[in-house]
Amino acid sequence: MQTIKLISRSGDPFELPYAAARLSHVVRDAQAEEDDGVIDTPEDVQIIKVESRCLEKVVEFLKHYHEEPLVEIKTPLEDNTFEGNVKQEWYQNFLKGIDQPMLFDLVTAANFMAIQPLLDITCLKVSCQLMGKSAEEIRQILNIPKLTAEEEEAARRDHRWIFDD
Amino acid sequence: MKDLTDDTVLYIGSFLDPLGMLNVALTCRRFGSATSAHHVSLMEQGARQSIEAAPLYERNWVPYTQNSSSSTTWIGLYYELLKLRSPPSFNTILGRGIRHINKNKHHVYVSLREQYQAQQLQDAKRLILRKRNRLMTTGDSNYASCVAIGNHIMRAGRHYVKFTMTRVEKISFGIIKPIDENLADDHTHTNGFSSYGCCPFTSPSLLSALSSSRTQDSYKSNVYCCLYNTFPGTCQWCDCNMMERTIDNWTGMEYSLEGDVGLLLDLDEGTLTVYKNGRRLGIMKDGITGEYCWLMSIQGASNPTAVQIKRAPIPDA
Repeated sequence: MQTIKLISRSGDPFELPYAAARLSHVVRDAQAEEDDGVIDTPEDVQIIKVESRCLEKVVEFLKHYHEEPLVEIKTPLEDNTFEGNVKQEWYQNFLKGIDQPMLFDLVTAANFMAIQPLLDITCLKVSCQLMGKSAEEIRQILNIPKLTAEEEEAARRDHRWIFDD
Repeated sequence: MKDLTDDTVLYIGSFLDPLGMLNVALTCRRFGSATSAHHVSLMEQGARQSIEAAPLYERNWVPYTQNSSSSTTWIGLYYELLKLRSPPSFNTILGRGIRHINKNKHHVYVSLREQYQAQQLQDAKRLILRKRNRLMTTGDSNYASCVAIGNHIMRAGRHYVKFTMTRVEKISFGIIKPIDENLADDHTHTNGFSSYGCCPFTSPSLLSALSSSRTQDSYKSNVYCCLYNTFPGTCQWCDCNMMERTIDNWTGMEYSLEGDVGLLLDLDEGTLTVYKNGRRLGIMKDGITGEYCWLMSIQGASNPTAVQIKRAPIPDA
């Protein structure tokens, strides 16, 4: 079995089967693959934008996905909860208990490494956190500074319809 | 959060409903203000993408034109799309002897027999009163009538629904300009509600109030409401002055005494087409423009019936 090392920003290597790693377009594009996806020896890839703690989680995801692919998330969503839309237990538990900074780091890593299934569940996770929340609650979840009074008035003016409905 | 790219924020927003998108838009400039590149905010872009991902017939329900008013937003259009995508129901029921079945607004039950009995009792009381006090009775003789009005406000594109009834008797199906629910409620118990003819409201005070509360949209078309009478199959409609009722025969006209009645409202062509048990009868009315809701009307039927409204694929011609 061919393996490959993904190296974090701080230089820590994480080894996994190449077949699992090539789910990332960044990893795949870094190799000189033949048309049938075969390569002689995979070259280790520097993931310069992802820290070790996050890359470790990414590698965990890639390894498991290779064994049990994520079922595509149906849209429009069937439910307002993460568990209502992602029925596979491993993926439910994968994001359970992680802190908000780690969640955003995973979104960023999935986007940077072009791992679509990881981007799907992390973005869905963030969306579910925002559902049913007011603007102020969303600011707290996303750690966004408050608007000035003028900015808030301008925003409400632009979207007056929903308050009239 | 600042490390998330705009594409990523858009993708997160794509899972949200319009209200969720709006609340995100209200959090900060980055999400809620128009960008120089796209001239709309990030959340507005997300709403537009959600609309553009919908099937063509749904996109035609919520057209965004260059002439759209400044208050029209993509999030607003997405909100409208999701409302139209929800199953049609009879949200407003007026008159007596009509109720929703098991709180299901897609299904109404009409039992006018109870109304007849109540009306007969009332007439009898008036007669007794007249004899005793030598007064002329002023009660009107309109027997039980009722209407049920749909929740969807349709303004563009093609919309098809199927009405299923357990018993056909003096039932009509069609369209009506949107009404103010509060306004209608105020008049349901005055002067005997009547859906005589096809104009559902013949209470003079209600007509006057509706007339004065008309929106600009009402003036776009001369058709205020239009109904297919299941028997004898005629088209009844009244104009936007709500004073004249017209009964027309039309090409393909047939009565429907059993099964389903389907109606296709095509607001791009301005037509209302009737289907009987999935078979196209023909265009019953044209010249229809503006906003409309679905309408069911019963006038003086004597036996109970249940009516259900459902969206269905347009039958092949």
